[in-house]
Amino acid sequence: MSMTGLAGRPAIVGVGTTPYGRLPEYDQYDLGAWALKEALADSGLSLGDLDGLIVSRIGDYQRFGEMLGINPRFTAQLPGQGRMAGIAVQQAAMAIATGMASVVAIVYGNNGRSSHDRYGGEGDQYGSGGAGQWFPYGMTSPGALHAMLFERHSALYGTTSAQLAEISVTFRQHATLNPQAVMRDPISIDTHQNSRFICEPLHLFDYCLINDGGVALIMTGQDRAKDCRKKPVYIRGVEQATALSDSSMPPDDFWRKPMQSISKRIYKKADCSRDELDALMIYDNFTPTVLFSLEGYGFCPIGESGPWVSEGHLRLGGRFPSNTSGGHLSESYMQGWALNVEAVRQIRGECGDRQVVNAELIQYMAAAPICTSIIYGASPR
Amino acid sequence: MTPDHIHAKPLPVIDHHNRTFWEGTQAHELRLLACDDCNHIRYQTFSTCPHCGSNARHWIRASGKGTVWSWTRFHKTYFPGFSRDMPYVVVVVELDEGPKIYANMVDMHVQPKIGTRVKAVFETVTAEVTLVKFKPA
Repeated sequence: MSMTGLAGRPAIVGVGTTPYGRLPEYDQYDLGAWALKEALADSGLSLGDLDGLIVSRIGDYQRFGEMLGINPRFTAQLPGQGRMAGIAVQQAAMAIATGMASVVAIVYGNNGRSSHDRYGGEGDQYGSGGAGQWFPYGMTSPGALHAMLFERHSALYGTTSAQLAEISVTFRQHATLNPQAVMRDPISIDTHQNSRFICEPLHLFDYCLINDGGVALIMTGQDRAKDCRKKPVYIRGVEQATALSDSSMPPDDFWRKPMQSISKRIYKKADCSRDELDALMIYDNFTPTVLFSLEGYGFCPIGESGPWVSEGHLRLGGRFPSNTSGGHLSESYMQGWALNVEAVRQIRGECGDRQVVNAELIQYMAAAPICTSIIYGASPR
Repeated sequence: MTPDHIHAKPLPVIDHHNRTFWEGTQAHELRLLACDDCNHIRYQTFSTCPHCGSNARHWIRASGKGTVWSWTRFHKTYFPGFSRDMPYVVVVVELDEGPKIYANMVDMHVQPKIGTRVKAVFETVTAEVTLVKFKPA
């Protein structure tokens, strides 16, 4: 094993996405299978080459395997939570590093729009043991928890809703350059500020977009990756840390401790520094999460993320172009999965009008009770 | 007091873990679990102490005093039972004993400032259920 813990460096050799939006004719299995076919075609590999399968949000791994007629020697299923996207990539890398599998497909299918997922109300399962304990008070939804966190951040540091608007406007601007994005009309700070509240102080434009879609990635080891159809995009480092303790309640530190723990290790593993990064993919279920991530992962000082984003650092052409696809706020809420695909496509140089010049190192990061981060690179080291 | 048949809001699911908590609110007491071994106090009614792992536990009567940690005002109606109360505020209160708790202020249309000192009050909603709410101390 190398110092990184990854024997050689595994690489993403195929990515596949369906259109995003309203696809009522397709269930989670159909969307996952569609994305998988796209990813295999992209890699030049076939179903028969797969010996590992990880599914997320697809209801049942067994049914999915039966549908595809495959018998992988490594299989796992992850719940349909956004924090699982990074974990799926990490588990695939671990399976390859340990020899449990040599070509792993990680597959996600989400029919949340057509099945009318609301992420709040009687069916709300968010949090530890579900939110049912707080329903008598009308408390429900991850959006409400993020609204409370943002209000707390405002009280402590003076962060403003207009600073959140900068994030919405920036990612929407990126989406105008992405034909696959669901929302492509430019918006202004005023559009955001004048939009209705959902869970105040969060406005409509602080929320991600619920849509149907599928995403798949194909990962293999460094040696085999070189023979695939496209330029491999290497997994330079993966890290995870959690804050499961007391996680029913909004955290006092905005998940800073697990993110700082990740940051201490991931750059060493990836053999690069934060300053070398060309772009960021930041899990943006709600705009405040972006602020918490920038502080926790060390891109700006604690408490200063609001003014920092307003300086324009996340914009294309800025210091750390972020969520160049439009992210969850404007491309589609594919729960972290499409952000990982965007990282791969940027490093390959496939992003057209939204291409970051010479994108070679990109960090994916998520903030939640499970924090994950992945650094993708054009070269194995 | 609201008669049972018109309380359309969601009710707590009372089970063997939390029954003592809900009996407490009926007696106008805010009860919390305390660990026999390390004295850690928890709001969640887990059988195990998240601080030291002990299963030995007892109920304490909390002071009912705390500080508003944050709030959000719901403008989206997730529960039909709240439709007449829109928009309404949910608060997170940090109790003096340590744990945080989600609740409403007695007037759920006014949002308290973060840092406001509050105390528990009890509001009977059905024959079986009394909710703990808060008002400025």
